[in-house]
Amino acid sequence: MTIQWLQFLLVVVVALGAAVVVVSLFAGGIRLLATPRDAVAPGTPRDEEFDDLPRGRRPAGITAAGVTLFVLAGAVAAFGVALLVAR
Amino acid sequence: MTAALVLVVIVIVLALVFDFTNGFHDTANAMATPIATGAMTPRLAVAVAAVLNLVGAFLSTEVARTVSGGLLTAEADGASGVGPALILAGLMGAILWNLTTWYFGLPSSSSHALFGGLVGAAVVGAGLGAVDWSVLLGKVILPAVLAPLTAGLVAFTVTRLAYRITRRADGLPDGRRGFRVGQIFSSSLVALAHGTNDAQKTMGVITLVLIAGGLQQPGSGPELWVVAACALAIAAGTYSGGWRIIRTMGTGLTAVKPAQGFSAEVSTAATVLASSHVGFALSTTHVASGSVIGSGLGRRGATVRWGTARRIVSGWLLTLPAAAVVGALAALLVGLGPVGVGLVVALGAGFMVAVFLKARPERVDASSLEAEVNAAGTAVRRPRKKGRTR
Repeated sequence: MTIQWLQFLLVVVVALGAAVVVVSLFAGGIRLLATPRDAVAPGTPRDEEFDDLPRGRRPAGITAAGVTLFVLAGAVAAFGVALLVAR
Repeated sequence: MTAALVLVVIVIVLALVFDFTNGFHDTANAMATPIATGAMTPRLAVAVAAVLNLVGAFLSTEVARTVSGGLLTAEADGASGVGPALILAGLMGAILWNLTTWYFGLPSSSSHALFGGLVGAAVVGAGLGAVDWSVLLGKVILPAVLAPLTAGLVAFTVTRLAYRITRRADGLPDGRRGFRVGQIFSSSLVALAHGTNDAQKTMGVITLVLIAGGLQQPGSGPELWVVAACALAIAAGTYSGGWRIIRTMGTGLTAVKPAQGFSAEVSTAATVLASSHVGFALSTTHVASGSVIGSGLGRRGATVRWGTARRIVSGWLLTLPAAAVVGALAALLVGLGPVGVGLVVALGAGFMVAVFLKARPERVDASSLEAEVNAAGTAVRRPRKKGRTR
C-alpha cells in the first residue's frame, strides 16, 4: 500500500502559498485605496464650516499602486490556475 | 443493440443525471455569498457559475483517472473485476443515498456517496480484490479528512492577513467593503475549481463503464465526448440550481463579511485546484465548510462550537459507509441477473419519483439550500461587539 504523502504536503504548501499571496495583494490594494480621498473633518457634513475645511487628497501614486496590486492579485490567480491545469 | 450495450447506455444516462444533481446542489457553495452581499446580480452570478463549471470540467482529468483507472478493477482487466451491472448498482446506491439525505436535510457529500456506492457494490459483487484499497485510502479517504483541514488552516491564515493588512489605527473607513468586488473573482474561482473536481467523478464513472463494457482500452483517460457531456450536465445543473436560489433569495443567509468571504473563497479554490491537480477526489462542500470555519476563527476572539462542528463532521463520516450499504444491496439484486438489473432500475426510478413528488420544491427556502456550508459557519462563535466604532 503506497500513500503518496508528498502529494498531501504539496497540496497544503501550494494552497497556503497561493492563497496568502493573492489575499495579501488584494488586501494591500484595498488598504492603499482606503487612503482617504477626502479627509474626514471634525464635525458633520451638515456643518457649513465643513465645506471650508481643507480636504486631504489621495496621491495619484497611491491610487496607481493600489490598482497595480489588484491587477497583480488577478494575474497570480490566473497564473496559478494555468500552472495547475498544465501537466 | 445487445443487452450489455443497453446496460452501458443506462449507466451513462444515470451518471449524467447524477452529474446534473451535483451541479444543481452545489451552486450555492460558490455563488451564495456574492449574491447575498450584492456583489453580483443573481442572474449574472448563476450564469458565470455555469460557464466556469463548464470550463473547469475541461481543464483537468486527473480526478477522472483516479476513478476510472485506479479505484476499481474493471471486468475487462481481470477475472475479479466490476462489470457494467455492478457500476449501475453502485451508482444507484449513490443516487438513492443522495436523495434520501437531501430529503431529510442531512449534510452529505455527493462525491462520497458515489465512492461509497461503487465500493459497496464492487465488494459484494466482485469481492474485495476488485477495489484498490490504497487508491481508496490515498486518493479519497485521506483527502476527505485532510482537505477540509487544509482549507481551514489556509482560510484562518489568510483571513487574519486580510484583516491585519486592512486594519487602520486612525479610525477612518477601512474600505473592507471593497472585498465585495473581490468576491466576484474569488467565487468565480470556486466555480471553476468545482468543475475541475466534481464533473470529473462522473467522467470517471462513465469511462469506467466503457472500459468494463469492453468499449474502451483499460487505463485510458476519458474520451472527449464524455468530458463534453459531463461538462454540459454539470453546467446545466448549476444553472437550474441557481434559479431555485434566485426564487428563494432574501431569507436567512448567514452574514459573512466580505473580507471573510473573500478569504474563505480563495482558500477553497486554492485547495480544490491543488487537489484536482494531483488527482484527489474530494468533496467541494467539505472543503468550503472547512474554509468557512477557518475564516470564522480567523476573526478576532472567535471560538469553535465543537458540538455543532462534531454534528456536521459525523454526518460526513456516515455518507461513505451508508452509501456503500445501499450500493451493496443493489449489487445483491443485480447478481440475480437481468431480472435483478431491471428491478434495481425500476426501484431506483420509483424512489426518485416518490422523493421528488413528496419534497414539493416550492417549500424549499434559502436556509436549506445553503444549509451545509452555512451550518459550518454556525460552528464558530463570535464575541458580541461592544461599542463598535468604525
